Amino acid sequence: MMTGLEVHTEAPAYRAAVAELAPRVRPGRGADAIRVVEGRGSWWEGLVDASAFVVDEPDPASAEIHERLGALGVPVVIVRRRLRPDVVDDARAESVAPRHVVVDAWGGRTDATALLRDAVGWARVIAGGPLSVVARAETTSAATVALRAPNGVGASVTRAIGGGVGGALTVTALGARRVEVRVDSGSPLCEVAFDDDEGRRVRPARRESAERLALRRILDAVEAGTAVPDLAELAADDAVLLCPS
Amino acid sequence: MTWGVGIIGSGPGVAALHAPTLARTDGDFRLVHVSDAGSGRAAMIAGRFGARASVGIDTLLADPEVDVVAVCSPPSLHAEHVRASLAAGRRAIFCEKPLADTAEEAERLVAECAAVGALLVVGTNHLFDPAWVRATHHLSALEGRISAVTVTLCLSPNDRYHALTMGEPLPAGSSARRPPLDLDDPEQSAAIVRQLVVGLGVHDLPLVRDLVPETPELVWARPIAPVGFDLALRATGALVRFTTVMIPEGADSLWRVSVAAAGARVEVEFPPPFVHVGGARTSVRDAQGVQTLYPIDRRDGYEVEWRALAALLRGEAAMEYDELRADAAFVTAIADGAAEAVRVGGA
Repeated sequence: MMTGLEVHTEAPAYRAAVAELAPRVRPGRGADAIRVVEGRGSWWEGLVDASAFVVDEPDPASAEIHERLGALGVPVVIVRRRLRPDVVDDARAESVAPRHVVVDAWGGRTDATALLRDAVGWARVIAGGPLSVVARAETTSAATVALRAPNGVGASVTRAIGGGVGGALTVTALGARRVEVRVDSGSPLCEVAFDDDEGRRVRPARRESAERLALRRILDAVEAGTAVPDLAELAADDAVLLCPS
Repeated sequence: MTWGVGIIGSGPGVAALHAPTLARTDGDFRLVHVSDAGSGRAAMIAGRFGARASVGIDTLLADPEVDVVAVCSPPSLHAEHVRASLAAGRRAIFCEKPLADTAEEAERLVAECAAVGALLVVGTNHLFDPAWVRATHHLSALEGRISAVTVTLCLSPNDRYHALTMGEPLPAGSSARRPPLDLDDPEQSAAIVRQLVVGLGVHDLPLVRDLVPETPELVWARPIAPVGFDLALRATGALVRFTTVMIPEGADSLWRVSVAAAGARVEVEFPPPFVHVGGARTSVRDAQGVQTLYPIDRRDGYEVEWRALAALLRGEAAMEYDELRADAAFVTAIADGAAEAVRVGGA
């Protein structure tokens, strides 16, 4: 007898992740399957005929789309490799009271909007809440946004287009104890480090594939019947991109 | 030749920085005279270096062994003391940053120096750091347009580092510490932000001008508690973000300048102030994705700025008065714009 939830995907990396999570999951296309949706274009149109979804690297979506998605009523895990939830947990592993948060990102033009969105996501995570836009500026090759969290902590996010091959972002919480996160396309591993008067402590590297992590999270949510905050967080970060200052 | 240096001022920047740094210049300079405003600290500093001490500036400026005047007095007195040095016939001046509080005053001072052929070095030490020189050469060679420059400072109190360059601490000066920002008081916040841009931002804004020389347009400026600011500029088609926070305790100082160009990304991390552990750490990610970490130069900007003055004195380098004028104008324009933005609650 077959066991485990079905996962509907054609993507090789997710098929590998299914194999790596057996017997909790298996390939399948049933109505109760978890479906993996590629995030390019109108990805939200693919959120049908399944009991839960994994959306891989979604392009930014409008507030109207997010409002519709909010009524979906099924678990949705969003895969943002620059903003992995396990790395977010690491960045929150020690108490940090930031005075300000800066995020510097650079990368190619094709991915520039999503890169800025993920940089804003890191600012939200470290500043401690949804962010409002205070000011912004854009050129043909860069964008910068001044943000503020409800607790009054400010954040400044800068994204440059260029910088050579690949892309990266650096998040720094400025304060008596600093946390710094470095995400770089040149390495599958993110770095999280805390600095205070005791010196620097680097968190152990997270080596689980992003795809396996996503499937494990959606499985946990389905099995426990718990909500996943990913869509709401994505909506908050997308809203910053579209918000006029 | 060894030039005698007379230092006007007796704060930590003299005791823990310039006085000992002179010993790093391979005999180009020696400290011969220190003056204070009556605190008695000048005598203590002078005693450590076998120099003379006096109160006020007249005795120092009349000292025939003083070839070079180092103006390390409080910033509000820099202009007055540079002028007094010129009036006393001194023709080689090292002035701590900022040269003056306004662009107009800086313009006049530089013009007065130029009129008599006086050599003038302003202690913008990061501009002299060999790592910055290397970084700008690298970026120039790429001929690629600069997309963004970000400057991030998170500074511990300087006295943490004074102990690393002094045998014994000096009695604390009378100057009060800067009060914390009152974010509910826009006038006070604006005044402190302006002071921070002129006095602290001046370390790195000349570096920014190196890369994006046009007159900048301020995008935003806002204060950060307890003491700091965050601002953004648009200049020469690039965006600049400059953020600084001064923290009374905690982590080692962070002092980082990042530059993104079309074909490379350069990151320069400066050492904390006062210490001599080599220059900045520079890494470059090139268009092929290759990351290069340059060796750290044994010389830092503090040492090189004095060597730059020696090179001027020997005639090995030419005075660039226009650069000094332009740096001062760049910094003060940003400081004025930031203060106004904070005053009206622009961000």
